[in-house]
Amino acid sequence: MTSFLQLNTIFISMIMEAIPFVLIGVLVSGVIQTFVTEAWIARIMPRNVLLRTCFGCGIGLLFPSCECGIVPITRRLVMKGMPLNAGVAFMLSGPIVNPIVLFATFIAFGNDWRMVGIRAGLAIAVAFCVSLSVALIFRGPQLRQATATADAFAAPVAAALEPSIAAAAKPTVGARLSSVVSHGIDEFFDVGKYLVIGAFLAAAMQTYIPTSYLLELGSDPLKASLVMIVLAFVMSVCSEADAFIASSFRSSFTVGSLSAFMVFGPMIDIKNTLMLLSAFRTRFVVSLIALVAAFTIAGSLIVGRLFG
Amino acid sequence: MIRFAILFGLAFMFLLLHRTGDLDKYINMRYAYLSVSAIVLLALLSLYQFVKVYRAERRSEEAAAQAAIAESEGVLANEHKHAVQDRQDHPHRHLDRHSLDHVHDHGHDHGHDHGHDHGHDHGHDLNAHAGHSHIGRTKWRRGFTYLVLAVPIFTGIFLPVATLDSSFVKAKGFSFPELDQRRKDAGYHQFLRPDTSVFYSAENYDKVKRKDMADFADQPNVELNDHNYLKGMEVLYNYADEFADKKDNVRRLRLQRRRGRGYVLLRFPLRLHSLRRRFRRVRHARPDAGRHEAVGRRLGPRYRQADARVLPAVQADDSGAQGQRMGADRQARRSVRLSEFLTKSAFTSRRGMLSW
Repeated sequence: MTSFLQLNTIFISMIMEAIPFVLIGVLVSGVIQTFVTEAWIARIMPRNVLLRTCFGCGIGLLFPSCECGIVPITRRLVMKGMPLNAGVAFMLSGPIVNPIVLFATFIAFGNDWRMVGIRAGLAIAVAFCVSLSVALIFRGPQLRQATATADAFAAPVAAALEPSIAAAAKPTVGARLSSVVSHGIDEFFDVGKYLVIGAFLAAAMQTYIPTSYLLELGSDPLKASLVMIVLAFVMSVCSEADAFIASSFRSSFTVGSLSAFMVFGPMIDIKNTLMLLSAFRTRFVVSLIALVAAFTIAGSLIVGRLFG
Repeated sequence: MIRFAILFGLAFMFLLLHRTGDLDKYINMRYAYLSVSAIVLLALLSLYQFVKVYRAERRSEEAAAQAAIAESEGVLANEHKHAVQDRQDHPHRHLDRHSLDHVHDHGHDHGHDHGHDHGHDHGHDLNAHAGHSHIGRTKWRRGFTYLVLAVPIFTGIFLPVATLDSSFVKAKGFSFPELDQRRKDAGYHQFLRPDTSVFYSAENYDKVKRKDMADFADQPNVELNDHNYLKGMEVLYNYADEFADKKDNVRRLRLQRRRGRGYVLLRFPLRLHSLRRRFRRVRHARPDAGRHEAVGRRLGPRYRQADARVLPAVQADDSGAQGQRMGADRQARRSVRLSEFLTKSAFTSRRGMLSW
C-alpha cells in the first residue's frame, strides 16, 4: 500500500507539473487554429530546398503547437503545395523547437539550459537529416490520394482557403475567442488522457521496477536509447508534458537516452502514427518512422558521448 | 457536463493542495506560480464550458418546443454556409447548434473531415453520417477519456501524500553502477587490502595475524585511527567473518581523525570500497577541495587487487555523526546524511550518485 501511495505521489506530481504547460499549449494551439491560415505559412516559405528545410525546422518557434495538432496542419500545407521535405521538417521539429516546450523542458530538468539545448539541437538535427533524406528518396506529396488527385485537390483547397482569409475579419472578436477556448478544451481532453496514462506508466516503472534492472538497461547506450524510444512511442505523451516524465528517469538513464525519448516521442508516437497513416501513404509513413528512429538513435549516441 | 466536472475537479484539486500546503510534496515550490496560473486557467475553462453547456441545453429546449421540420431545414442551410466560410469553426458551430452528442473527438475531426469538407454539397451529410454510424465507438472513446482524466482528480484528493523517503529506495533496491561494473569485471577490482605478509615468514605472519586480531576482538567497536589503521584494516580483511553483523552483537567500526574531531560510525556490513573512500576523505580532507580530490585519486590504484574473496562489508550508520564530520570538513556539498543521500541519489543524475 505504501508503495502504491508513493506511486500515486509521483504520478500526481508529474501531472501537476505538466498541466500548466499543457493548458498554455492547447490555448496557443487554439489561437493558431483560429487565427493563422496555412495559406499564410505557404506564402512566407522560401523556394530553395536547403533554405526551405531550415525554415521548416525553425517555423515551430513561431507556432508553438504540440504534436497532436501538427499532422493535420502539415497535411493541409502539403496539399496546398508546400514541398514534402519542408512539411516534414516542420512536422518533426515543430512540436519540440518552440518556446513552450523548451520552457517546460527547462523547468522539468530543474532550470537546466543544457538539457534544453540538447533537446532542441538534436530535434533540429534529426528533422534536418530526415527532411533531406525524404527529399532524396521521395518525389511528390505522398498523400493518401494519388498525386494527380492531390493536385486536383489543391486547387479547390486553395479556393476554399482564400475566402476564409477574406472572411477572417468577419466573425466578431468574441466569437473567435470563444472558438479559441473551445478548441483549447477539445484539445485538452484529447491530449490529457495520454498525459495521465503516460505519467501513470512512468510512475509505476519508477516505483516497481528494481533500480538495478533499470540501471542495467540504462547503462548500455544503444539499449537505453532503444528502450526510451519504444517507451516514447507507447506512452504518446504530449511534447509539452514529456519532459517531466523524462526527468523522472534521470536517475537511471543517461542524457543520451533521455534526449532520444524527448526527441522521438514528439515526432513519432501511437497517436501520431495513426494520424500519419490517415494522411500519408503507408510506404511513406513506414520509411519516415524508420528514418526518424535511425537518426534519433544515432544522434542520441553522439549526445551520450558528448554529455554522458 | 462531464467536461465541466473534470476541468473544475482539476482546478479544485490544485487549489486544495495549495490550501493544505501539500503542494510542496509534489512540485518544486519555485514553480508554484505555474500551478497558480494553472488554477486560474482551469477555472476559466470550466466556467466557459459550463456556460456553453448551459446555453446549449437552453437552446435544445427551445428547439424541442419549435416545429422539428422547420428547425432541421434551417440548420441544414446554415451548415452549408458555414462549411464554405469558416471551415475551422465548423465542428464547434455544429456543437452549439445540436446537442453534445455531436461532438466528435477532435483528432478524429481533423483526420477525416477536412478531406470532405470542401465538397460543399456533401458536407453536412457526411458529418451526420459519421456522427451516427460511429456513435457507439465515439461514446466509448469519450467515456474512456473522461474516466482516465478523472483518475488523478480522485487519487490526488483522496489518497494521502506519501513521502518519498528511504523506504522508497529500499523497496526498489539501490545500486551503484560503477561498483556493479567492477563486480562483474574481476580484473577491475580496486580496494584497499593491506597485506603485510610479505614482510614475515609464513608462521610468523600467522602469529602476528592472531595477535592483531586479539587486539580488536574484544572491543565493542573497531576503532581505527592514524596509528592502527593498517593493522585494523588487515584484521578486518583476514577475519571478515568475525566482524559480520550478528543480530545481538552489532559491531561498529569507528574511524577517527587525527585530531580526534568527529567520528564516522560505520556498522557492518559495509563495502570496503566505500570504507576506503570514506577513510581517505577523513584522513586527507583539507579545506581546499581540489587538493583533497587529488590525494584521493592517487591512493587508489596502488592497491589494485584482482582476487575476489569474501570481504568484510560495513554498512554506513546514518546517525548524525557523519554529518558532523562532514560539516567539520567544510565540505558542504558532501555533508548529506546518508539517509538523505540515499533518497536523493535515486532522483539525481547517475553521475551525482557517486560523487559523495
